[in-house]
Amino acid sequence: MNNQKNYPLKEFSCPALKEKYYLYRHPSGLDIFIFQKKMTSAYAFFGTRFGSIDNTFKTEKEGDFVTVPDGIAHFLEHKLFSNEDGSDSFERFSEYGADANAYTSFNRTTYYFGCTENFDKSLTELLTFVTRPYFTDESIAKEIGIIEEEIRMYDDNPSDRCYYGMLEGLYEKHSVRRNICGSAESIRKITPALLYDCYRVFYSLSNMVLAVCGDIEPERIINIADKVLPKNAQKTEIIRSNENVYEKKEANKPLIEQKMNVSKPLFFIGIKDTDIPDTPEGIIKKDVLMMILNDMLFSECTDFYNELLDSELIYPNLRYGYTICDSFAYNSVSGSADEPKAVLEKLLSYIDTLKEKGLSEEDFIRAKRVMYAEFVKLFDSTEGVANQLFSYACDGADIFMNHELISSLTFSEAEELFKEAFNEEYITLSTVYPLDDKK
Amino acid sequence: MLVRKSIPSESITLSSITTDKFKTGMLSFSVTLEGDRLLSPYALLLTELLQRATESYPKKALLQRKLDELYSASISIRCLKAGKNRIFNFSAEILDNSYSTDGTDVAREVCSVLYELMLRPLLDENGLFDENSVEQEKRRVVTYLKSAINNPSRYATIRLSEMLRRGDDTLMTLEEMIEAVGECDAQTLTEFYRKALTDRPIEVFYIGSLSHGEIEERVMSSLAAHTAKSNQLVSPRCETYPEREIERRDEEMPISQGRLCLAFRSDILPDSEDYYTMVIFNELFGGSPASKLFMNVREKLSLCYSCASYYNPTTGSIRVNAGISSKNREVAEAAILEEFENIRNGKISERELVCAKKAVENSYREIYDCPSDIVSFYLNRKSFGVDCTIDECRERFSRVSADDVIRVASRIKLDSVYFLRALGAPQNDEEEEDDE
Repeated sequence: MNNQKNYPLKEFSCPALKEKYYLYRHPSGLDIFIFQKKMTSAYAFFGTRFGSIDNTFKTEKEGDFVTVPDGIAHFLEHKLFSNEDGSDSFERFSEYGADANAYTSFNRTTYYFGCTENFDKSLTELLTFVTRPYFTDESIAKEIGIIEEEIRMYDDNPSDRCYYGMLEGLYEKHSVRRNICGSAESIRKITPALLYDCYRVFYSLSNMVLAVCGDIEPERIINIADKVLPKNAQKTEIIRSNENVYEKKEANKPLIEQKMNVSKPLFFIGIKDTDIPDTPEGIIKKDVLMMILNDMLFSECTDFYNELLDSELIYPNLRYGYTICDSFAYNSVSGSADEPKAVLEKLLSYIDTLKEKGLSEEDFIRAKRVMYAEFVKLFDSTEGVANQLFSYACDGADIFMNHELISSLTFSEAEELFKEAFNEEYITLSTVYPLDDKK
Repeated sequence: MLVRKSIPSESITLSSITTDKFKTGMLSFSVTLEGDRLLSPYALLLTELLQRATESYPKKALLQRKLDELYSASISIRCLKAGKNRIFNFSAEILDNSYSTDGTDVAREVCSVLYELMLRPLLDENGLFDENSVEQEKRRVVTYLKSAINNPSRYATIRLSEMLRRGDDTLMTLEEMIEAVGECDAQTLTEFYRKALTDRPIEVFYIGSLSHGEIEERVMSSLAAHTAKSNQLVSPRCETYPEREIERRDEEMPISQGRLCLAFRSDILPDSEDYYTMVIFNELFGGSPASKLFMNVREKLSLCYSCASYYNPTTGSIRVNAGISSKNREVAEAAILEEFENIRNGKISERELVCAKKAVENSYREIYDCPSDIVSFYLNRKSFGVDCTIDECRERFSRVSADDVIRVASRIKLDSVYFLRALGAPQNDEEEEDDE
């Protein structure tokens, strides 16, 4: 065996946490990240940079862009578990005692398992079933019934519907406004040929990442990769449609209203952000800074939250967060309120007041402490670490970056970001009212 | 992991696990009560009210600020069902002291906060909870209870539980809860609080890097003055459901997907030899992607996306919850019952049994990787009245045979069937454009 290929390409470490992990570049083109940790369980995440927003694309060899039906990335995720010999990979994982699952997001699809024994067998199965696609008309027809029920389940989730309403309010063209699962109509347009086309383009190993966390020696992982994966890399250049780039800074629509069987109105306030850094490090830095800023603005310590709660304008459990990737970003504040429009008015007034009087440096320091603690706590979970490692690796970033960023980010950077990012014209209000609501 | 125990005072018992494995720790203070009809609405109100303010932190914002300063200590106050008993639990997930960048003794300070939350709530000059605060929490709790309709799966589960508990007048329906919460006032709530929490022995559990002696010193620095009127701990009270006719109930809702729920009862409780077999039965039936419900009702028949079974050891019951098209109601119910009968009739492959046992064993081994799961495991054993370690449980699971499962299946009976029929989702004025 040539030991040279097993040498890690790069080491990443965080002395303050006493943790490190390694990147190995496999001859097949796959990047393998290994985070050794003495825990009982081990987790492996294997996935691709392909999600629901990637519905128009081409490779360098083809002239025209191809548009595929909504929900195809998610459909493909479901179908990969079915093998040519008629077996289902879920059964194999279960035989080994592993707990397997998968998920599709806007820009990623990932397949993973966790186990406390038989890691080698489970990893072999993971790498095998994902790299051996098999689709037929019959298997697609059967899956349609299952996914239709999944779509109906989400259709009945008012929070989910309110969230997608917010995306529709923010974005005019960007495919992030489309449901990850697609619709009952769109999934009926999916054929084996279309699935194979998407697979061929996006499941090239150079577009994929394997991330492992657990008490596993790197040599074991590399040896399994050697057995299952091709010996040579086949790089496919993927050219995604640039439609997603042409979004105006302002929100698409200021208000989206729906009615469902709910007891009180729900709301999602979205704040569009088209100012996306063009490097992975820039994106991570903005993500961390925005999370600190959001905590300063909306946490349970704040006047905003407590005034809304005390005046009973909102019910407890106000949620807030920031989402950013290389093609879209937004802030959101969500919850339940009798008068969602009044909550939005309060938010706009609060932003205006803060822009006048300034943010609190004490709140900034407090929020940084919270971020630091949440960052440290992540490393107690092999599943959490492997998932985060996968996500950051897909973005070309290092999960330890947050540690340095949290301490180095300055109050004036937070102030500047607040002034740039929180403007009324970027905001949409999505609501779900009860069926008998007369407003 | 070795659990150390001590009784630092007549009113405090302490169990701890010392380990360097984690960067976080867990602290848990619990009090066990005997359940009665009014306990549920009072408990729901109290768990919300106690989080608002304490003597040292008279506003929520001040309390949250303190928790943030303690490296984002995450507090939860819950009233957990333990058969006929209830457990008031105050717990905190905390950063280990070794990761504190300014020398803060997080464990000591969080002990003090938990003590405040539990035993020093903010009361008015009459020694009662503030009336305005009580009325506000009542409105919030009623809103929470009514929001059950927002989640059809949760709503269906609540209705199925009510059917299972029929004839037990110590427990309330959703509507009765809403009414009972409305009738509470500051006086009755304060009296309930004093009786429930202030006069009872407290069980403390800790997991983290501190030694037993170190955490005992920190706990007692806050709780030393606590004196319970009765130091007798409440005995576990798990009860199964009686033999009776199958109950059926249908409802309708303007939603897209119907919810079919079945409840099965048994006479097996956690202190029974067959408890371990029941756990394996549930896993085999509908507990995992290799289970009969998943592989057949979902994968083969494509009747649903979610179809799973859940076992409640404190009542010996199993419930199945499936999201289906309303037109498939009869087919789905028949398919679920067919899988149940298949197990009773011995149609269990070696592979199915191995998968079920491995899934359970894997989930028990994983407990070692999560401080909150470790604490939950030991609290559950206590509420079950069973004393065994994680490894002992795993060993018992490994010994379950197909014959055991078939034998136990004969003691499981269908008890209730609830169906939430989907009338169809409402059409909103603006539909998303489909550009296909």
